[in-house]
Amino acid sequence: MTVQDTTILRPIPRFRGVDHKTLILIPPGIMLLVFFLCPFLIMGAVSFYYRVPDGFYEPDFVLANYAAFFDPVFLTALARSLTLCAVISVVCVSLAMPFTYLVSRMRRGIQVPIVILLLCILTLSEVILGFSWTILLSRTAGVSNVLVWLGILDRPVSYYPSRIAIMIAMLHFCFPFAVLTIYPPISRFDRSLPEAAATLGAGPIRAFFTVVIPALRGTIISALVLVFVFALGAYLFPQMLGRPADWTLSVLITDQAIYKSNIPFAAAMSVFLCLICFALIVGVGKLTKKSEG
Amino acid sequence: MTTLTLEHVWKRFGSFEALKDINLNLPSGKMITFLGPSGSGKSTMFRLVAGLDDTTEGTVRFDGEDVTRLPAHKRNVGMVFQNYALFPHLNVWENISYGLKLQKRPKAERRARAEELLDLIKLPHIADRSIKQLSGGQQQRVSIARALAMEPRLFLLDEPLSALDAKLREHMQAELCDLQQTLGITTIVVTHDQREAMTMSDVVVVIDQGEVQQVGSPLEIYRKPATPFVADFVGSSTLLEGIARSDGTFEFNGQSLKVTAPDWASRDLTPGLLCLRPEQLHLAPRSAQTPNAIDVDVSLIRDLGSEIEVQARAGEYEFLVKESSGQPLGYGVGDKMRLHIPETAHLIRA
Ligand SMILES: Nc1ncnc2c1ncn2[C@@H]1O[C@H](COP(=O)(O)OP(=O)(O)OP(=O)(O)O)[C@@H](O)[C@H]1O
Ligand SMILES: [Mg+2]
Repeated sequence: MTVQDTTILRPIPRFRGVDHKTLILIPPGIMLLVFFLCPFLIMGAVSFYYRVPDGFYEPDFVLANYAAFFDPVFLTALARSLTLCAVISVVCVSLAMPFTYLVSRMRRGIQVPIVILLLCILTLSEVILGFSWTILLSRTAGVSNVLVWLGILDRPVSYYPSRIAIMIAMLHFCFPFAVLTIYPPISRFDRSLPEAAATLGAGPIRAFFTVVIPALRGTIISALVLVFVFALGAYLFPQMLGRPADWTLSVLITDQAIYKSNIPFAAAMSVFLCLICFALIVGVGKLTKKSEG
Repeated sequence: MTTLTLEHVWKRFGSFEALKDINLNLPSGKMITFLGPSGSGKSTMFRLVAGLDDTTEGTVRFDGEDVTRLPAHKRNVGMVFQNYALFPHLNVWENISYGLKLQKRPKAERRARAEELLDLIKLPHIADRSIKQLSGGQQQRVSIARALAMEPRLFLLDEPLSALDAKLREHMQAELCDLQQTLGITTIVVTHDQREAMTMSDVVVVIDQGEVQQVGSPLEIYRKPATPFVADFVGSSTLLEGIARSDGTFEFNGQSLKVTAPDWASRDLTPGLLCLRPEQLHLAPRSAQTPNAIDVDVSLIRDLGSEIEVQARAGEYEFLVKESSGQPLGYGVGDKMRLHIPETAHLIRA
C-alpha cells in the first residue's frame, strides 16, 4: 500500500537515474516475488530433497527425483498428458474460432446474451462441471437413456471413465476461456478484409479460411497456448472421469503428493510442468512476434 | 466494358430509407462519380452495386443482365476500400494475386500478373515488401492493383483519396484518370468533394438523402443544376426566388428580369429559382442605368491576389461576385451598386 501511494500520488523525483517507469514496476514485482517466485523456489528446493522411505523428507541434494522421470511409466504419462492437452486445445480453438466469428457478426442484442451465458459457465467451478458430466455420462441418468428412448441404443450404457469423457468435460470448461480470449480481436477485426476477399472471388467460407484465420494467426496461437496450459493444469476432470491409465501429469502430481506422500517427487514433477509451460509461452511469444514483425 | 443499370432500387435499414427509388443508367467505359454530402447514401448504393449488401427492392443490371441476387464473389467487380483493406498476412504481390490464387493459377503466372500491375501503378520493385512497410499512398496503389488484377467488369473506389494529403491527392486524381483511360474500364468513384468530382469524371451522379438529384457531365451539373440542392452543393451560387414566365421573364421582387425561358415554364406563373454563379455577375454604378439588373449594397471586399471577391446584398439575398484584380475596382464597402443579371442565368424549377 505505502509503496503504491508514493509511486502513484506524488510527483516522483528521479533517484540516481531510476525513472518513475521503473518505480511503477516495483509493487507488481514484489507481489510476483512473494506469491510466485518464493513458492516456486521452495518447490524447486524441495524437488532436490531426499525422500525418507515410508516417511517424510529431509533437506539434501539428490537427483533421484528427477532421475525417476526416465521411468517409462512417467514418460508415457507425460506423452499422454501432452497429447490430450494438445488435442483439447486444438479442438477447443477450432470450435471457438468460427463460433466467435459468427457471434461477432450478429446484432448487438444477440451478442450480449451469448457472452453473458459464457460468463455464467465461467462461474461454475471445475468440481461442479465434473460432477455434472459424471451424471450426464452415467448409465443410470445419463444421455444414453435418451438414446435408448430414441431407439438408437438397446440399453443404457455408461460413457465414463474414458478419455472421451475427460475431453468433453475439459472442452466444456475451456471453451468460454477460448471464446473470451478471441472475442475482442475478432470483434475489432476489420470487416472490409473479408469483403475485399469477396470482391476478389472468395465465397464466405473461403474468405474465412484464406483471410480471417491467417490475419488472426497471433490471436489463434495465444488462444491455443492458453487452453493448452489450462488443460495441463486441470486435475479434477481426469480423476473424476478417467481411469488411472488416463491420468495426466497434474493428477499424478496430486497422487504423489497427497496419497503417496512423496513430496520431493511431486515437487520435481511440478517444476518440470512449470518449465514446460514457461518454455511454451516464451517460445510461442517469440514465434508470433517474428511472424508478425 | 460494362453498363450499370439500377431500376427502382430501394434500400431500407429497419424503417430508415437509405435509398429511395434509384433509377440510373450509366454508360460503359466512363469515369463516373457518386457525389453527395456525408450520409447521403453513396456508400450504400456502392455496396449494392458490389453485391456486399442486398437491395430491399429493385434490380441491378450489368450489361442488362440481372445481378441483383448474385453474391459479391460472383460479380467480378474490383473494389478499392476507403481503408484499402489490404491483407496483412500477405506481402504486396500475394495481395495483388489473391484472386488468381483462388482460381488455382500457377505461381509463375500470378507473379507475372502482379509485376505487370505493379508497373501499371508505377511501383515496380516492391513486389516482395510487406504491407506494413508501405506508405499510405503506396498502400492505396497496391489496393488499386489488387482490384484490377481480375480484369473486373466494374472498378469501384469508395472515397479513394480522402486519406491522402492535398498534393498527393491531386496527383492521384490525375493518375486515376490516366489509368481509367488506358484500361477503358467502367469506373465509379465515391466522393463528397465536389471539386474532385468535377475534375475527374465524365459523368457525375449527385445524391442527397437517398435520392438521385441529377446525372450529367460536370459542366451540365455546374451550369444547369436540376435542383436547388445541386446548385448549392456544387460550386457557390445565389438562388433568387421568383416566378418564371414562358415569355422569358423572371419576376423577382416586383422586378421583371429577362432570362432564357426554360422548357418547363410553359404555363404562366411557375415558381422558379434563378441560379447565379459568381463568375456570371458584374457590378456597375447605379448611375449607369444597367438594364436587367438589381440594386445591391456592397458589404465586403476581399482581395485574394489572383482575383477579388466582392460580397453584395439585396434584402435577404447575398451575392458573391468575382472581379479581376488587374485594375482598381472603382467602388468600396457600403457603396450602392447595380448587379447585372446575365440572360444566360439558369432557371431551376422550385
Ligand atoms: N448498416 C446500416 N444500418 C443502419 N443504417 C445504415 C447502415 N449503413 C448505412 N446506414 C445509414 O444510411 C445512410 C447513408 O449511409 P452511407 O454510408 O451510404 O452514407 P455516405 O453517403 O457514404 O456518407 P459518407 O460520405 O459519410 O461516407 C446514413 O444515414 C447511415 O446512417
Ligand atoms: Mg461512405
